[in-house]
Amino acid sequence: MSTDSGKHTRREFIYGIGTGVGSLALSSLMGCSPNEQGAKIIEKITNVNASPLAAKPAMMIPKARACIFLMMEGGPSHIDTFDPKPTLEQFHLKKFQREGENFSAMSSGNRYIVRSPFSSRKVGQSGADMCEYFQYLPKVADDICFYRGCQAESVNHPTAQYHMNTGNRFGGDPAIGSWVTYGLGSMNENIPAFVVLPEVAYPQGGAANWSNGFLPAHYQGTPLRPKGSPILNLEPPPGLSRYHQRESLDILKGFNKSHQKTHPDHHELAARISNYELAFRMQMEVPELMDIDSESQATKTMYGIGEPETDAFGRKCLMARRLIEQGVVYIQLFSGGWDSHDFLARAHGNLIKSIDKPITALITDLKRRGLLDETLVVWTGEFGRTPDNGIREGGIAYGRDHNNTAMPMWFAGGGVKAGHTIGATDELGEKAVEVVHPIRDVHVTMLQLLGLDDNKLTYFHGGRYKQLSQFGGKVIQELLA
Amino acid sequence: MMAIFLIKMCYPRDLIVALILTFALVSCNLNNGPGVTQDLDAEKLFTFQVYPMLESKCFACHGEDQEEIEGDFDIRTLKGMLKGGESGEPALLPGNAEASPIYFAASREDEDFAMPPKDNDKLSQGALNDLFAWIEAGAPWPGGKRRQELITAGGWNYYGKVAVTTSDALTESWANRKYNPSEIWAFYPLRHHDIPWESVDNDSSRNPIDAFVYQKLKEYKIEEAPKADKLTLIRRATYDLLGLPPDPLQIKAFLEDNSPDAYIKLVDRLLESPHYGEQWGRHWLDVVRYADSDGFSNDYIRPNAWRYRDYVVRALNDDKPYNQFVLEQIAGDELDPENSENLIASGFLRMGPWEHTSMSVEAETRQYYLDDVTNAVGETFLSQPLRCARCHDHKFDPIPTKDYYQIQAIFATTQFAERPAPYLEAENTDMLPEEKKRVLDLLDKAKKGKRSVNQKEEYFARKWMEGRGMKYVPKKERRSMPENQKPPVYYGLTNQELGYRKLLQKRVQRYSKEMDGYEGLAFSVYNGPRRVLNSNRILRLPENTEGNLDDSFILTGGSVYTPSDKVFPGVLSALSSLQDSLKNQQSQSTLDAEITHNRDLRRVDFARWVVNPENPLTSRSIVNRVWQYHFGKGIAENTNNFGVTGKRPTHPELLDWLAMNFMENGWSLKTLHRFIMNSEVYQRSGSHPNPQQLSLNDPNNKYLSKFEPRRLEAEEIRDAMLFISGELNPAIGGYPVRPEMHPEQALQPRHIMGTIAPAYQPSPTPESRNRRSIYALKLRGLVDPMMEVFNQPTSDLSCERRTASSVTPQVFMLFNDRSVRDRAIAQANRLRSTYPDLNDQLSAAINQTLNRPANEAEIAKARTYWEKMVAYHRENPFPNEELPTKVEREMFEEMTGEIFHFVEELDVYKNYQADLKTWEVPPETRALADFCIVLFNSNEFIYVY
Repeated sequence: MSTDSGKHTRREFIYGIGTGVGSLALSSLMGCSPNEQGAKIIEKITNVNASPLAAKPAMMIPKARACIFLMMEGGPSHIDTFDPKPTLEQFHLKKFQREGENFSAMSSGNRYIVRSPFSSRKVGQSGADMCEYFQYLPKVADDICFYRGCQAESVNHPTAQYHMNTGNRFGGDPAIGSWVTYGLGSMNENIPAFVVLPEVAYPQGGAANWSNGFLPAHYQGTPLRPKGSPILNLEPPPGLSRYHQRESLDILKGFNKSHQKTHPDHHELAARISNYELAFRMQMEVPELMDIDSESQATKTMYGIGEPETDAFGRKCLMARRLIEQGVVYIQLFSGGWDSHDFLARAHGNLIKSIDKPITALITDLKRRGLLDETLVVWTGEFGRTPDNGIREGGIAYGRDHNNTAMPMWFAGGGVKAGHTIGATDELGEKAVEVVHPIRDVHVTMLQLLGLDDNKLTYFHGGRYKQLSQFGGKVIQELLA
Repeated sequence: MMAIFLIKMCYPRDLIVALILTFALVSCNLNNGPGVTQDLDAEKLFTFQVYPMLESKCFACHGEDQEEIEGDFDIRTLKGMLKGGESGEPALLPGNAEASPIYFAASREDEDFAMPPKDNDKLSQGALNDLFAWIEAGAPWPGGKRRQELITAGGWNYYGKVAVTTSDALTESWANRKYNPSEIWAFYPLRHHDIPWESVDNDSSRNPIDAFVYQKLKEYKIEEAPKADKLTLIRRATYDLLGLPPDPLQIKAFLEDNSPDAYIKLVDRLLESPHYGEQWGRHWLDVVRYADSDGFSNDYIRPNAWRYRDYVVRALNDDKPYNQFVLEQIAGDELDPENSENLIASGFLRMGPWEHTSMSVEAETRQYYLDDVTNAVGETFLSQPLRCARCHDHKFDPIPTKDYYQIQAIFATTQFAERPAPYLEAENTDMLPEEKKRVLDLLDKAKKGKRSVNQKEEYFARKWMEGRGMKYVPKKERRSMPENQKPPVYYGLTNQELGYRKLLQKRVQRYSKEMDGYEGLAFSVYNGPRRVLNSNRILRLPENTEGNLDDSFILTGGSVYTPSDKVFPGVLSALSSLQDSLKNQQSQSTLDAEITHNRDLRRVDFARWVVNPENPLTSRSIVNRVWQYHFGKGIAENTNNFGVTGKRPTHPELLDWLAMNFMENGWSLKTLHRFIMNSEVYQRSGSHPNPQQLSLNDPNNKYLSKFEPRRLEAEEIRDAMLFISGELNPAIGGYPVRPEMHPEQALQPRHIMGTIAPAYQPSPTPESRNRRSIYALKLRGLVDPMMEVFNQPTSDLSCERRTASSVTPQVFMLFNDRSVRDRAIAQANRLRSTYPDLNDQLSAAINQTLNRPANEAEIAKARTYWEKMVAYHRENPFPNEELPTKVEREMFEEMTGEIFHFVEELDVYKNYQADLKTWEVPPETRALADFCIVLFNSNEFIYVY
């Protein structure tokens, strides 16, 4: 699959359009035989009016039709969450030195081992390791596939974030969500197919983390702001009513129609005219979607909404479920502040608390609505943390530095090997040693679960066919059910 | 697995026959007549074409790794091929390509059995033809020794393919690779073509551009559109050259000027406008990725980058010869470091995003820079993205990895510095004192705040130490003391104070760096040994630039950790060898340039090679870019990529003619503009008389039978609105200005390494912020949503050509945004004070915005609308929006995992002159402004025909 970035004379919308094909739900294809799928592909190819965001058939039988990507910005520690290292206990505060041009100022110099401030226990029937601060997550432990083999490349936040979110360390490339919507299209014409629920403060590297890069603008992630208007200028300015807008749109339409008559061979005009009507409808629909007050109190309580520690992330998790129900294809949630160089117990402790209940509720809720099977849930950071730490401000700091050779990660939902822990790190948690894979393999695996083949999901740009994994990757078979 | 799927293939019979015939024909011609058997040709075909293809496309998975052979199928030998894979059926049936699974897989007839599996690696049609012909010829498989004999014998030419001599390749098969000359067209010397005057029917045009374009139109039997009317032309030419609409008075004068050279005079006038340099400078800035900040996590301001931006504007306005423009950007500091202009120009070498923090690995950051600048010079000046050759010899183009690292070696001594460069007369420094005062004030406040947190920390430290009967020791001296004799770090500080401390520390760093922007420094480079840099520190020219210089190596796999052969500065080696091959060795190519190995002047040597008139890439590159901005598409469509994977030129003869003519005219861009704009091709109507026919003959308007309409670009939309409303401050150049941005975006907290960046605040007065968009502060980490939604590119990757998508958020922006409303209110206010009569107001609004006279029906409709809106506004007051004077921030403090709150004072808003606002004007003005907004949203405004 490849498209040239030439000019687009067909209709282009960021949120899809109402052509017949546009409303063709992917789920209707999921049970099809390959031949039936093929027939539908042809039907779509021959429909030249199809929007770039019209739902597209998967390249292979998908296990999931949507993805919720839980991004823990800052680099959560595997050692203090899902990969306990009791050995660190005996070396606690043992000092050593590391030098060299190939280490950052942060990972060299005088160093010492730091034990985990948390105790860990085995949870679920599968006996997964989980730190004591997770009070709720054990309930769904058997729905989760924990992975200890992933290795990042960069030890620097923005580059590692870009790497995890776009497959390229240096920014400017399309985010996974953009690739996925490019591959799958949208199932709802009135809302974005790739939605981002950021923290109030945007992550390091900013909006490039959900950029469409060189893919057409339709595939850009739309951040729904946690505060204020979810989409900029969605609402008319105060003082202007829908009547006012309707009147203005009508006279505009008049101008545009008579102008169009004098330029009959300029096809872009039609698209721009219908965009205004679509926008008018969206002004009604998006706020409804954002209004979580319509949810029952029990549901809100389950997500921790109303409790100070969990309210913010709870709202995002509940929003994610609502978006999944609306047919959104890729949802990325950010939880910030995991960069615990110091005060590990307090910092990680509080953060774990802030996500524990909401994530458990999300998995439980998806499951009881029958949505978990068709949704891939991924939890990860941009890298993991070291078993040791550097001198900070001349003293001992009970935290951890960045680690690109081991990190925590887990998957739940469509197609993953739930109830298993895959891969392993060494005795100190310094390095992944079993089922070791780079980030691109995780990306390729995610695409496959969503019915997309990384080698075919390509786009011609800058002189070559580009792909999410940059130059190809391997599916991590061990993670698949 | 491939063997199972032998479906009837759609390879056309006649093509096969043609292929075999061609093959036979070529063989006869090139192998000294009779006596040469077809076997030998097939062996050669295999040796030169098929085997290298199999080697690069198949062996990695099917043989090289014996542990893991995909499908248990070893392609490396004829035996393996005949044995096939798991299915047990042979993959190759000699003499029958159609029935051979390997051909079927390579042809990608069935996606499920396509090989190689990646679309990226798919065989070119040429390679597929070779494979086909080889199998049909009986699939001879000469062994390694025999292949070597054939290679040594040389003389291979197949379908007119040619060998290209380059510097050493990484692999032998790459070195032996043959190229289709039409694919490596850009590497060939410029060729003189006679102007096809015979294609011009009448004597109306004596412009060679028309002759070349008509020639193609005739060839493809495409009818051309008529000439555009004068109104269309003045709007087209004005937006094109200035990025602004024509003034109604200028339109009137042009329409009334019936002299034959009215249009020529118009173009001349526009080229003399100082706004020309702004519009065309902006195009250049897209290519070089200009921004006022570093990008990545801290996104520090580059306080002197604006001088490079203005240098570009100035160079274009002065019609600086393009070869000089290139020299100065690559090697200005080496040519004359005493000249501010030159130091500023070489800021080009630092335009990419760049950051080094304590978390970065020094060797990696340096290599990142070298890779970035190597690719950037290739892409920008040679239309040759060099990064493709970083890890392996170029997959398609005749660029070995060695060339890449030889070019990289030119920059091995290039280092960053803010260098003293006194402000030039031509530079606009008006804003500097004011900006400096503000930043100094912010810096003082941050320092003071930081001091008070430090004092508190010391207070608790003293208590801790004295409480244990120890003597108080100040922080600096405590550092080296054992753990048990000093308080834990940050002892006594609350979560709030910890967060605040980090915030202030970062602000002190930021503002200190910004203070560098008022001292007459250039964002520039010097030559010397590598030095450790940190983005948070101010970089000045070191006193001593002597020392050990970095050597350069070919990096295996592109990794800085696996250097192999040492290399020295060099250039693209294919250019000179191709030139020599055409000259028949009569004279030596001057493109085989020697680049000094000394510390200095490497870049001068290289830049001279770039602008050597015999270098075909440089002049083609720039005339093609200029053509693209005039017509929407380059003659070769990928203006950054003239390589095999870029699109071929539609009018190669014209491209070469333009390039040669351009150099003959002293590399003058203005002459080129004049030349292009005075052609009939440029002046054609945007509507074709026979669109149905055209959609069949030339659906993408490749042959330019009509003028391609374009959507205004992001900056043009904003600038035009300011121009139309009368608010535009047309001053040229200067310190970056901060236009108003949607407040939710402006005050959106931005995470920068461990804390939050200062809020974006607009410049305090209408004059200081209502400037052209090219002067807007361009932060990599904070984009103006109004610009972004209309496809302003990010500054991370070079943008060869902007897209013009049509997406719904554009509607929200243009219809609902405050800035658009403010422009409309200003326009309406001005209209009402100029014209007492409503009809005149409405008519003038149409005239100003759409650049044409209004018709009566429109005015009647507008009048009805206006009346309804007046009635509406009388009933519905527009609420007054208070300006924020502070913003509350909260974030997870990483050290504690607790929320950290702080209040940021918005200093600018304390003394802020707002634009005229909706609530300040009467309902009549508001209603007229509503109409102005409608016009700003209309297709007629947003498209240029």
